[in-house]
Amino acid sequence: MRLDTVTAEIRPRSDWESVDLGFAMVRRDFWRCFAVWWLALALPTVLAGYFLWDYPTVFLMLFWWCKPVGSRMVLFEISRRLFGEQPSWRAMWREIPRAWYRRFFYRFVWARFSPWLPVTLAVEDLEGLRGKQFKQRCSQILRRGESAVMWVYFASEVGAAWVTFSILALVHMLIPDGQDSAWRLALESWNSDSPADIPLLILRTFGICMMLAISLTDIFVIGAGFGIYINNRTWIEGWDIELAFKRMAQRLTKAVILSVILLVLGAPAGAGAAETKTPAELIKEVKANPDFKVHTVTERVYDQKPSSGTPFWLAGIGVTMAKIFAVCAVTLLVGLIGWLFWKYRHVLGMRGTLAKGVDAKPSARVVMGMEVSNTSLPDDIPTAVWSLWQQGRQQEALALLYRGSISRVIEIGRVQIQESDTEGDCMRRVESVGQAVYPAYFRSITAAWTRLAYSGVSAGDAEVHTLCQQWPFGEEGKR
Amino acid sequence: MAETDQLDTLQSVELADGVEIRLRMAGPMLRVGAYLIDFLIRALILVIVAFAIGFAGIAIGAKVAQGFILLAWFLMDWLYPVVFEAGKRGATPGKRALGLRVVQSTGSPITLGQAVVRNFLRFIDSMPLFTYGFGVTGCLASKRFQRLGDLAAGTVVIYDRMPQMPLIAMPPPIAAVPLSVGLTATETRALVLFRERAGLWSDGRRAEIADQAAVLTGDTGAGGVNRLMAMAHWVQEKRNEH
Repeated sequence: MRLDTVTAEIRPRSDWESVDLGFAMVRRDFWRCFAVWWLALALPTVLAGYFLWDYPTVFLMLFWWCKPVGSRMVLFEISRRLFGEQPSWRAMWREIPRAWYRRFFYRFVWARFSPWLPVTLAVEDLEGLRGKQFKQRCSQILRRGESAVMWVYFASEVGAAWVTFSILALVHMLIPDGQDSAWRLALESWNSDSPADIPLLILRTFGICMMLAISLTDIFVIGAGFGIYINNRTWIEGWDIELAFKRMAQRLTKAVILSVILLVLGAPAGAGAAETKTPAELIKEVKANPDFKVHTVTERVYDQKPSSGTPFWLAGIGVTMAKIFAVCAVTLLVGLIGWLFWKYRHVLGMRGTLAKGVDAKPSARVVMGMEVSNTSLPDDIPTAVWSLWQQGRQQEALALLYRGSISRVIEIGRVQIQESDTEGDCMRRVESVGQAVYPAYFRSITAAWTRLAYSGVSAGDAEVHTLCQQWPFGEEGKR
Repeated sequence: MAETDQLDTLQSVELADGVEIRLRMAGPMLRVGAYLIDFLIRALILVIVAFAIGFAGIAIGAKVAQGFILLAWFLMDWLYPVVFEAGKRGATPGKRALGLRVVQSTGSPITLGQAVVRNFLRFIDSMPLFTYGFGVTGCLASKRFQRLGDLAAGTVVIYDRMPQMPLIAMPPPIAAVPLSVGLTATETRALVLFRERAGLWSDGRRAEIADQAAVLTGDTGAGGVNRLMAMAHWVQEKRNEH
């Protein structure tokens, strides 16, 4: 990996901006991505299509199941392209079998439904980590942008169906009137007595559109996941700073060499060169600089002819169709969004409960996926933390310490902490309340916790011990 | 340096007085989210309005009431985004909720005319069959994530809120070392950011980054890190004392 040949602007971004960068990366190489995606899946698709021609549902499920193969190929392409290298078609070809069998059981069976796939795939394929290391690295990378990844993933699964309808509608729009008799016949033969008995023609058309839709959405989802991955590494490894320093070093080295050359050649030579130019030439030279280019904008005003106006019936049809559509869409959307929220909260809660034996009460308050209600915490937090620390469970110890201090801060100082707050938000809120909640102490805890959580740098024994001893939050902590 | 063809989600705009601002373009994901929120809000309002008119229908007759409901539907569909986007905040409630805003591609607030063009072209963007297939395609295919309506009106959707950046600085160094050479604005910024974000990196990584600036510090490893910290300290606090 060479940072100086990178082909995208490296800077620390917000989660959604990094998703957008991923989209932009895919857009730049869209046709290549599309081609490699299908390159990996074309042969099996054709074979399966031949044998399963009469079982489109089974075929479609198999196709969906094998989607990660295409994802891997897209990742292979855009990751190399980001660092200024364009993989040859031969290299792509050789990558295909690896995309099929690399960690087959994990990727295609165990974690096939994993909503973190767009990011974990990057850890698996690009860093080549396995087992415990892989897990640790994934949880570290997912510290930033986890919710974005999950939204993107769910949106892609729903989006694939959505795009399918879009393609179907487009095709239908483009078919000349009266040429769709086969489709009409098929629709008519689909009677309401046995709705599960869908005519083969409809299934096949639907299947082909869906295959296209799956490939299109998947390409962009992988781009988004890769964007998040790159953004996180930029944050925790300071890529942008490294790059800036590299460029500075280049500039400074160049400046040194230039001054040495000038010294060697002697100043008179330089002065002589300048004197041979007439003022007119000098002016020309200066004005040749692109900064002096005069930009003009020509605006043309056309004669306005009385137009026939937009056909109002178009809008009329629009409104009636919107009416029918909206009724379906509202019901669908309400259900969908409800489901998404439920799913999303559930998973976040699962991941966040670091301490064992926590009884998850519905009234529990959760900050950054960690429970902070009083009942979920031990009575004597510092002692509990120190014993956890001595057992070597550092992550749990610091999480408990942080959780505990947030809980106390909410209780004692009535600090208004929202469930969606980040560490930075919590810090600001605590500081705005003032000395009653010991902002200095809270700051040092936050620093220790974020260092461990975001960059995996653990605090020293002495630091944790001091933190435990200094625990300032009232008697209920030292009971 | 070929920085112009670097892929980026920012767009620089140079204002009349030579000041450069950067717009942070918003991609399709949050915009679809904003649309869905707006859709729910609109649906809710319409249900309430329909109930109200429906009750009034006892007095004014069912046909008239139906006409009014359709009229309300029409206005809600076509004017809701226009009114909000042409307003002071330049965003519908859904966009505001997600921290988005519509501006001209020069960064200034959009005019009423632009709001009208951009939103009336939703009719095209929402094709085929109200799936917004054209809109999303345009959004993903254009450099500044513009759908057809945006392209026609010359507008862009940007992120309006700056997210909190987790900065963990190292403890302040004791010494302050003045810079030996002049640095450009970007380089100075990188130097300051090095100090402010160093707390997020491991010791080894810190040294690795500092090694890149060895020309400036004349030292590598931990010595380089310390010297960079001291320089950043000087830039941030001591430089203006002289």
